[in-house]
Amino acid sequence: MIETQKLTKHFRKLVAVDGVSFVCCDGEVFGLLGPNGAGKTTILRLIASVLKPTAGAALVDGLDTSRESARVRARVGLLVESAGLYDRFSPREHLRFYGRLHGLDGPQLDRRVDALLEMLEMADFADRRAEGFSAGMRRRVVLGQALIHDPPNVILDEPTASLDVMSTRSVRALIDRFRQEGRCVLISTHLMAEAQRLCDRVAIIHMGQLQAVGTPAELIAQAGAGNLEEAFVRIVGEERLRTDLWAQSRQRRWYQFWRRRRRV
Amino acid sequence: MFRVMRTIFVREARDLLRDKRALLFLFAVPLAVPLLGAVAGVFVVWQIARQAGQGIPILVVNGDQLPGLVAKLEESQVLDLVGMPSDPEQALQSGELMAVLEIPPGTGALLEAEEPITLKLTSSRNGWLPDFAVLAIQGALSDYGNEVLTDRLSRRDLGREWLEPIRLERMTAAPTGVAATAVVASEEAPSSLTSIFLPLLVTSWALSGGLSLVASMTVGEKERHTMESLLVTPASRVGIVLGKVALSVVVSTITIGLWSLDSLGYTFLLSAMSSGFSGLAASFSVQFGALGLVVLWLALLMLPFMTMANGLVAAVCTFAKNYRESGLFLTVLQLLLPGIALLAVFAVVTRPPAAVYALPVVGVLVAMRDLFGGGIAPGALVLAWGAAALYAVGSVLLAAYAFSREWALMRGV
Repeated sequence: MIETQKLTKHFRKLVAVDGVSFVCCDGEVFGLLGPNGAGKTTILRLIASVLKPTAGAALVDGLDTSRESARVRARVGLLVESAGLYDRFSPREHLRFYGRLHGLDGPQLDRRVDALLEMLEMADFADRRAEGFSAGMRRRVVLGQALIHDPPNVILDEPTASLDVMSTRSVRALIDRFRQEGRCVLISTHLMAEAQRLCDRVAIIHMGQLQAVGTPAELIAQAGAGNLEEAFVRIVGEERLRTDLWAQSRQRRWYQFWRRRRRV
Repeated sequence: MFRVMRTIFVREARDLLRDKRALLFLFAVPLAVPLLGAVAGVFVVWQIARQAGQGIPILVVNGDQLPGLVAKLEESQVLDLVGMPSDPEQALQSGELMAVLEIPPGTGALLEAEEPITLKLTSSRNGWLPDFAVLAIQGALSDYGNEVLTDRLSRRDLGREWLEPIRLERMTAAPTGVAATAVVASEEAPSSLTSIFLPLLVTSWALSGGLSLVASMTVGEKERHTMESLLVTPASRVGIVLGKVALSVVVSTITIGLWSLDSLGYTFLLSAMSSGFSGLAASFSVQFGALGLVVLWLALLMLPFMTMANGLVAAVCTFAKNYRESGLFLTVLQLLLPGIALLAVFAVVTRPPAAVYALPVVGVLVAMRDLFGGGIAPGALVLAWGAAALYAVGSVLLAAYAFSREWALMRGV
């Protein structure tokens, strides 16, 4: 189970996440929905204890991500949107490497690697070097890395970004499977249709703040809209979406300018 | 932690072994350089032998004035004394003649009268053979001059020692310190040049060997977007850094070893060329006999120094946003460390206070200088090594600290 309590993250003057609270239960697919730059990836990084919160807390299976980061990481599998591969390593070697870093070894590691290669349909290219892999192949390897230690909590950042139709279908099937296995699945996406199709519950994030939480049907009904996309626009407000995004980009520019000035 | 360290070490080593370009730059260059040198040497020797077999054509004008000199030139196996061509100047320009030795008329009489004489030597500008001809002519002139001098001295009942009224017997006082004594005990005591250049060489070796490798292992993780995947594992950050630094130290040691073998190889080759193969054996026994203790101490000092340099580079590169930024940081380091090395070699006095040996970077370099300069106490040597080991641990901890800080790791991610 993943829980955030008034989770806040500042990057100097930039407020990336502002008092976000939600709970994602086991056997549930919970979606963080928001435009690019809303703070979704930062929330996921805070939960995976890659970043430390400025205020508030994130709990994974009751463990505080700030205080017990190593134990949290052992219970979390994070698929990073922009994750890369070692080009001179094969998928099997990637899985074995990350397995060892998670403390697996011997026959246990071999079994887990073989199972993942089969589950993620990587058997055909399991021993080929990653150089020249397509986006779909790369995404499968990275997903395998995140799942090598069989984590009860799976965090997926834009899981279907830049994937073709067949790869997207595979990832969706996999998320359904995680749900059936009773894992807690937290995904971030800016694709409304995907969120509506995959998620049991959705949190709408805008400018680092939580705008609404509920099932897609509840949010659609709450906004009196025809679909989740329309509901999202109505909940946040079309005018606010435009002006806030402009203000945010201006704030980022000022932040970068200020950092440059400080460096000078 | 050691399990993580081993896992990281093995992964990075495997990655390096599969990277042909990196292997080429790190290991093939020091292996290829002596090979190329040997090929070039064989070619030059073959050319000389071929030309010597035919004889290098030279002209002696008025040779009848100094028949003794002409005899010496004829004795030379590489020179071929030819007759007067129709146009000597043209023959020199075309390469038909390699050199012309002109003996002015009346030279024989002047020499007989013990008056100074001047000969004129003009060489062609046709490759390196004229230089070789000039060397052979100078050798013959020197032999002939010695004969004339010995003849003049014997006419006055004088020996050659008459020409050298004062002789200087040069000795070196044995300094304190076990290692230093071993150096000076040998005939081939390292020159002061070694003590000057060694710290500079060690500094550049320590940086050059593992530098690009450390950059690839740290900031490279950011560039490849693999950093976050690594950070999300429960692996100890200290273990990760230790694994990376350990590999870079191993690689640096191997490259330094290869370059050192190159240097030794050239030394032996020069020794063999100058004094035959018995000289080579003597040189070998000197290098591995009397200098053994010094070389051992040098290795002991270099290991923590390299670890410190690699740890420092790892810390800097972990902080860097990308390769470009790490390149800028490393340029500063590359300028700074040799600068400190120069300061250590030239600005620090001989036999400095013990505290100097405990200074970061300077201490080790001064110890190396004094080790080869022949004056360091065992206590100072141990102090320098201990301090260097402490700084090595400190720099690795600094790298581990950078590897556990959000502000360093997430820059550029």
